[in-house]
Amino acid sequence: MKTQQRLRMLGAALALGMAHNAQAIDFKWSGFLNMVGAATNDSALYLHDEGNIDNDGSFEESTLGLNTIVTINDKLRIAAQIASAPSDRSIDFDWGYGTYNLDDNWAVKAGRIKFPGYLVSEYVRVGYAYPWIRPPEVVYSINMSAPTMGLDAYDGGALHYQGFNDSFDYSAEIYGGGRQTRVMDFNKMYGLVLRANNDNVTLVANANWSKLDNPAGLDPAMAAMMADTANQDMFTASAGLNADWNNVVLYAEYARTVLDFINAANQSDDVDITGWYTTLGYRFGDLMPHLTYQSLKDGNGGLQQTSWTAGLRYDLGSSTTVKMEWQRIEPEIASGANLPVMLQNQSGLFSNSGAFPGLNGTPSDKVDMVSLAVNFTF
Amino acid sequence: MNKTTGMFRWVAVLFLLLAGTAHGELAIIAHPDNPEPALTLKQVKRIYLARAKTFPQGGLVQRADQEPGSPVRQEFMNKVLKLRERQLNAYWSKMTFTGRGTRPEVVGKDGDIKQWVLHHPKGLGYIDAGQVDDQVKVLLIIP
Repeated sequence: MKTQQRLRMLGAALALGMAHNAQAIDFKWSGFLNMVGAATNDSALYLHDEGNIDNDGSFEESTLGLNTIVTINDKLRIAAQIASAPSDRSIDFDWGYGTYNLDDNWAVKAGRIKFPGYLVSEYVRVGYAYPWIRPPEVVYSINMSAPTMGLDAYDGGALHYQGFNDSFDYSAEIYGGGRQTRVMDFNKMYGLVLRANNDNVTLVANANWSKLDNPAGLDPAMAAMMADTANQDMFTASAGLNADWNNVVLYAEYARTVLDFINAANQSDDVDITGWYTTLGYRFGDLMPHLTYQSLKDGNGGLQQTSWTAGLRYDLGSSTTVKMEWQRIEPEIASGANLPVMLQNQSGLFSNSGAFPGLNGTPSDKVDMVSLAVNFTF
Repeated sequence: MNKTTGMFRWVAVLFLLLAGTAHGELAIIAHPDNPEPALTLKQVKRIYLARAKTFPQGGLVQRADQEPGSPVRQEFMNKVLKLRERQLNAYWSKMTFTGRGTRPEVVGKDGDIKQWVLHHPKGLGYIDAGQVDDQVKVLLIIP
């Protein structure tokens, strides 16, 4: 409902802009399609609500997105994207915001803005734009046990500074706002993101502070599970490096989230989730084999998962790519005494059988997953 | 002795001429009324990659691209953008799907670009420097 209202407002704003200055307005439409199939050799559900992958296979990561960029004049630009995924069973207002350039260096943004802190978080749903079928889930998953804790975008504003010298383009952005997801309210959220890039290297660093709360209307089982995380402070810091040099492609990224957790017995016991990964690939013309190592750890409760992925990306023409991946996941079950309820019995990024009794959330020590994807842009 | 040196000189000249046609200079061209005195290589690159949206002296830039497969386009990618086709495609998917900017408009070949620039007061194009005439304004020659 809210999303519909926002889309209607956006449409009205666009129409108004058009009527005002019909000649100069420049509309550009684009889209993307990810067709993804994945299966594991275990009945425990992997990436609950994102892919729901188990030994029956899943196509739920498939996504269709539509995007428009409207240049109204030399100062003002509006862009928006909607996307649908079977795991959502709905069409999402993915993001949509206006950018107003104050001068060559300074700009302000307002609207729903995709989380800017990670290397690929702003285009996380656009499979064509990165080597993998799904960006490494120990950093990018919106599962509650990953460092994002579900924060994928925010409603708010940002002040952006950009500059360049002979060797680098660089930018700094401070942002603030909030976000309500299905299971969590991120209130009074603010952050800082720094970026630098040249032809071969991109560097990004981010810090984010949020106040967590439970959204109104949460279903009672979920609310019970989330109750002890409400009204807690969350802090995330991350850093990433991407290099693309002489056919060698490298990604390395680290994200850590700390929650000032006070459990039901009023004991303070920080949740401390760290996810990091490294990917190394090499381009042989249209073909790029790549290898990824991922690690997810809760420094306190023992929530843990490591994995290796071997993948292949094959580019067909200028807007289509075919990908295949094999991944071996080694999860461990969380076992800390003072863990928040939502992390108790959690096994890596598999679904939580404690919180969702109907689901099998206890995987074996080693789970293999194969994924196939075709990504298009148009 | 002299004769041989002379012949070598001619062969060298011929070779340079041939090399010259295969790897010509590029000219960055604009509308004759464009007040910009000149652009640097870095400025042209930032404008084409949509990192800068306006001319240094103001006004939203309209960018013209040569058609895919054009040798002049290849030269432009090598000398100015310093990107390969595959990297450029990935770059534009990132720019587009984050709402930051769009690809330049594909206009055609040298002649089409010249015509297009004459009809776009804030237009910017690139052509083989040998095709430059006195109708368009040259903002940069790239050797």
